[in-house]
Amino acid sequence: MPRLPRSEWYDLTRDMNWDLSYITEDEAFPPQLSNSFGVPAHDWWAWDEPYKITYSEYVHNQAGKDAGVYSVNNVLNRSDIWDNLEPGWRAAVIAHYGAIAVAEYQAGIGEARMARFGRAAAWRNMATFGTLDETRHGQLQTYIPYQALAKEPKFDWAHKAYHTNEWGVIAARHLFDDMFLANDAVSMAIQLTFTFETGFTNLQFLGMAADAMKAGDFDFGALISSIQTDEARHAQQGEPTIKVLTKAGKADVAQDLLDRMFWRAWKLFALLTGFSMDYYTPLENRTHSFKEFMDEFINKQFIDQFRDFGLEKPWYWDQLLNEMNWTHHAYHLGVYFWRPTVWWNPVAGVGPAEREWLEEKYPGWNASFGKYWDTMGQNVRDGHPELTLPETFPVVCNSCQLPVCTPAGYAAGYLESPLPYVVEYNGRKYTFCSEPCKWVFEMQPETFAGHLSIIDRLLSGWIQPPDIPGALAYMGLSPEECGVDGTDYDWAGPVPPATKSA
Amino acid sequence: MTTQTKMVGPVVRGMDASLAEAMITAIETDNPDVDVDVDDQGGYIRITTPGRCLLTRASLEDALGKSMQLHQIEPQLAGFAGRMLVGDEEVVWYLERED
Repeated sequence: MPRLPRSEWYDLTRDMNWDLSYITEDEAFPPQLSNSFGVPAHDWWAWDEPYKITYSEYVHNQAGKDAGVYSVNNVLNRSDIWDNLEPGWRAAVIAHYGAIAVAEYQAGIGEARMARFGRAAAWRNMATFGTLDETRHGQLQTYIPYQALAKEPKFDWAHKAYHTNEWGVIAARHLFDDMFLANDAVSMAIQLTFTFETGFTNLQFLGMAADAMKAGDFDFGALISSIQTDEARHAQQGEPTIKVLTKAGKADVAQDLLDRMFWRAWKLFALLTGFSMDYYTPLENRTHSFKEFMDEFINKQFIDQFRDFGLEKPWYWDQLLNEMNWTHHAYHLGVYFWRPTVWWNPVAGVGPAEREWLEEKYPGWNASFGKYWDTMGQNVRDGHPELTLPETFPVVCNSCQLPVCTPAGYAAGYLESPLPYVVEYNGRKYTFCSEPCKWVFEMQPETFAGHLSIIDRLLSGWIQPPDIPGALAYMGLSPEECGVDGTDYDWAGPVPPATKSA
Repeated sequence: MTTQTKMVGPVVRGMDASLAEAMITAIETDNPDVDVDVDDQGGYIRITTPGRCLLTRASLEDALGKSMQLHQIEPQLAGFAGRMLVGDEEVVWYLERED
């Protein structure tokens, strides 16, 4: 039987747009859930996705994708691959599941909002697929760690993390609430699907997939690269949304939404992907440095895409290039030092060969960040590992919720001042790690001012007793769950036997 | 900003060797006048050409030795450089802005 080419019937089956007569536009599309930015209703109907797929094609593809991932998992789950992976790689995978799995379900809520409040039928259709995609990602990334719990109890955090007040999770929640859970459909198309998914998820889901295959973790590599094939499709909700806004003379709106979320996404990936690639991935398995992946996926691929829509680099581009040299090194140092506060076992990743690699990829590393590790290594070799553990708390940024590392950036020669940025708003002082983080806050102070960072909560008496054990309990970390050095201090060289755990 | 040739094209997962190979072959066939750059990172393979990259269903089927709908590349298509336009018989990755 002859079949019509898809292009001859696709628009007809997709475009269920209609004029409202019983209710007003604002009743059907409340601005809080779908900000039109003043673009008339009919202009949104020009929304046309560049990446077209029908429901039957979608179901066929997705069934095949799942069959692939689950069959790899089914085979490998019976093997001892996990036990034989390097401690650093295991740390990267455990950190990934906690930071990402439940956030995928939350992204599904965001997609579902666009599936209802997107301003064109074509868009709602794409977002329906996106909702199913994100549900799939949530299921895969809770199922796979769940069935490996017997091998790795820390996989419990794949589900648990977002139900705690662990500091990294507070940071992730602050970001994701802003990006999708509390965002309107139009802003979300630019901030979640375009900025975050077209841009940054490639780092964690493709960059890490390359490292996974080299590290021998085919299960994880198959999983995250399969997830990224969904992202590549539903991320395309950004392009037509930008086109509609630009055609209506609102390119500045799109640029502003991009600028705000681009910086926020950078901070999270500088933390999670930064230490995963440059410290946790075993040296012999690294394909590129984090900075090189940023250059490939963000500074070339993503920049080319958004400039093609008439948008420009964010105003803080020089600050981004500056931070790419040092911020994730400072974050890694902090995560290692405050390791009891995370759900994975951080590795230092600074043995002699690793340091040589870091110096090559980040000239000056040894003379700057290397010095901190020299001191910690000496303390461990002297039999005083307790000196490499925290007794106090860092200052946390009131925008990204991550530690303020300006002193480290200053000491490494990248900043002109070690001081944080400070804003007074409604009688309260807020502290920021960078000019763009301060700017993000100042653009919407009424949105962010009420949020208390983990340190604000400590100072406000929410955390009792107000010390490290009290904070660990507040963050949902029992003594058995607190992170310890993933290699038992092997990186420091010969250490006294008493330093080693039993 | 310096003008340089922007590379565009698919980023394919490294999980299906035969499809990845077929896409490379097909893209070489469909873009005869340019060098096709293949950057194989194991976990992903970046296949790019300068400015515009065409992939036709006919070339892909030839290279693969079996019939295939273009939407069926999605399970291996983890990303792409440039913008992407999907038709019945061809996919094009492209960029318009030259600076």
